[in-house]
Amino acid sequence: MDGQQITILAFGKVAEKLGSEQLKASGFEDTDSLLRWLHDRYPALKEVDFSLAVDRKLVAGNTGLGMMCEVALLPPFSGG
Amino acid sequence: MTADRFDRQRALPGFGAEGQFRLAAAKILVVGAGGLGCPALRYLAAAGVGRLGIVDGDVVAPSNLHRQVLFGVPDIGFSKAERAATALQRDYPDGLHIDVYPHYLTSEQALDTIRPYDAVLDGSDNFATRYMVNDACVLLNKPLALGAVYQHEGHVTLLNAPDGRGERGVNYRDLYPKPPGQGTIPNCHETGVLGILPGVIGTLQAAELIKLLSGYGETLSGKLLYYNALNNRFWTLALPAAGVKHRDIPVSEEAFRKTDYAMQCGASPQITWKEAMEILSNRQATTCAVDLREMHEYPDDVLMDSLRISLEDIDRDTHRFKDAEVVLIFCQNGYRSQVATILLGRVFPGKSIYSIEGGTGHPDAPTQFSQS
Repeated sequence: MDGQQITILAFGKVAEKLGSEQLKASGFEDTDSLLRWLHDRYPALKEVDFSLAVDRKLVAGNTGLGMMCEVALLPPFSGG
Repeated sequence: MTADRFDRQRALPGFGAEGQFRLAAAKILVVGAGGLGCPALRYLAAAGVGRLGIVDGDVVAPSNLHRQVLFGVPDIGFSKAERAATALQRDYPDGLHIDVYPHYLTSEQALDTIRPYDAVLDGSDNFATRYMVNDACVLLNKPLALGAVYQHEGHVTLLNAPDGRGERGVNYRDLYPKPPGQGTIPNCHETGVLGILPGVIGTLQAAELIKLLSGYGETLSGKLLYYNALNNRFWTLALPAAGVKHRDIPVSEEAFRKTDYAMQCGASPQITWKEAMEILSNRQATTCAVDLREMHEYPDDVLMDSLRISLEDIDRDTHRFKDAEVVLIFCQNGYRSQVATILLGRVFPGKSIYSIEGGTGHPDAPTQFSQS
């Protein structure tokens, strides 16, 4: 392990597709490479649209991932 | 001053008579008197908001009662907007004015409905309404308390709120620029929801507007709060101002009125049983009917020679639709068939694919389904 542990938090439908609300991963420099890996590993993820937050901040577009960072996968909710 | 129903609120340091006075002058529109709207309306009315508008075109159903707490068994079958207004007017006959809109919000009347109010609370249950209400609030400069739930999770924020320097806070499109296809995200009709969850989220939405309009405390503007009822986790993230103007927000009120939010949100084309039976009676080789019901759902009723495919396989068994030009899809209640219509539409953008409204449970469904 190279110490670049990333914590992935999944919400709503994304958590269902991942089968877990929390995952650990390592070796990803940016959100694009992390997303590619997630989509490869969990093909059902293509059925869900979601936004991304890195270290509790919403991000748009590819974003660099630092050491020990936390990436949240945030699908919209519609229910009321 | 004699004690009244707001005494304990006025006594709150930082709230005081001034906060109460501001609430009495406040006008809030609540879109949707459902799982989120009911608790929100209860607290807004109890807190002393002077004017409340209630928009809902639906009627009370037995399956609503575990979460839509302004209603009881005697309300079943009656307008939600009217019954909610009746309950609140009965409980708070003093100083509360209620406007009842017993119909759904549409892009034709949304702006005129929202315009007289100071702020809006979104208690709707579908993306088309959520994007429409967001865009209307951006055009009209109205703060919007957003709340939404999914099974055991919910989120809440205050959108489009003034920041004190004349700038507006983030809106829904900063968070989710494009509406998802409605087929990808089911709402509470299909997925089930813990009754208390919209109670928590709707109450938090009401708290946001009470704070904003009374000037008390700090709001969630620029932050999104998640609540997970299963593990009691509250989680907040920052929503930085995107600083971009979203191309998809209509540029003018006129453009807004012409926007079809249902289509933007991937509403699937639907037809009635009557229309479907007509198409099937002049049946061509290029028309195909698809029965999505699982084996445990009345396996003996098969509409003519329909294909039986489960929703899970619909976009995998694509060879079965290769030669069809028109595909009519039905299920037991009309929800899964909408999802299937969207999935199949992505694979075959050239085909005419329809979901049959209401499924086999609909009164107009062909008679072989009637015993089901």
